[in-house]
Amino acid sequence: MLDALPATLSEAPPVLEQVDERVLVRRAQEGELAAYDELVKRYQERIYATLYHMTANHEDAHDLAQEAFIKAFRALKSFKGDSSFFTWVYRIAVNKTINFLKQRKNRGQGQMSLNDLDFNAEHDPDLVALVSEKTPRRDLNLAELQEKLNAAMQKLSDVHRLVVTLHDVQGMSHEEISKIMDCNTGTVRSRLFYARQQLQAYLSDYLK
Amino acid sequence: MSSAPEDFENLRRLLACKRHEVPPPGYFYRFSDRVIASIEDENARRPSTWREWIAARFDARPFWACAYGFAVSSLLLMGFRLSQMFEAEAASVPSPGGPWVALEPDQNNLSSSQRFQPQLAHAAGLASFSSISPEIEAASQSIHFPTRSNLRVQPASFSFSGH
Repeated sequence: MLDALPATLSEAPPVLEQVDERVLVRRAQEGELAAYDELVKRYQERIYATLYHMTANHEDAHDLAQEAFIKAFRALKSFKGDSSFFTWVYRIAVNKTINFLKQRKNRGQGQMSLNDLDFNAEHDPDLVALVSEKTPRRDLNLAELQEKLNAAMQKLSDVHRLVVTLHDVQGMSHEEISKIMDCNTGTVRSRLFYARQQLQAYLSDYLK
Repeated sequence: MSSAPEDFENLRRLLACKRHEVPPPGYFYRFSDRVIASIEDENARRPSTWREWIAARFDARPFWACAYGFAVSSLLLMGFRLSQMFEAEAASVPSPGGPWVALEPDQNNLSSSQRFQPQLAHAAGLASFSSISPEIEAASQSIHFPTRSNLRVQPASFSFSGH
């Protein structure tokens, strides 16, 4: 019985968590919702985080992420695999968010409802060093610093905020960002440089 | 333009704190379920139409939306230009009874097939209806324009019955 166990396991179909992305996409294109469910689970956190940093609002980020995944499923048959599914669905989400932000700006609603930092933030060596040593205002705590940063982020244009979010917060490469934003890496670099300069200027009191 | 990493080191550290901004605990636990439920609900509720099909593709690739818009605009512009051309052409064609006179083509420059042949037209019963009919040529043989010598003044009187 024990001898037969490895053979049985090797013959068993792989669980969806271990299946290659391309296989999942193909199965989802054929209408298998379980495969699409797995794709959503793989990328939901990163997409949600990006949309959240773009909108600065949990409810908006939730709605936009959900709508993006639903739209991606509807358009899935047109996905030819020229880029990765991740890049493709990211592009849908980002375009949707930029359109949403334009509409919100026109409506004059730019309120923020940011969450508190999670427990790990207090132990992040970078942040500890920044708050305890680098900040000239010694009484400024992490939450206040975060508030200042978010206010400065909201002053950036949508594309500049997107580049900073994808690169400095999400840790994506210039090449990945260029595919998502449908531009060349030179444009990504120049936008990133400009956005950082702007942020540096807005936060000059806290970054000396 | 210098974008040396050390120029923005402190900013980069500060931006790193945004990685710790997280949604409420357990938020992602049911997220994909909600997405799938919405898809199933939509599938059950309404059939897919060609408009949705196009909208979904435009969401995925904004380039195609721009290209489609450009193509439609070009077609409209082209149609407008063509209609203007046709109107201009129609305006240049003389209307019946108008001040313009149809010019008779130079018979010497026409090929034998293009040249008007009155005997054939007459045989076909078309001669009297043609705008370039040389009927006038035949008639011109018997037309005598009055000259001063053959003009004669005659008294004329008119009477209306009952008056």
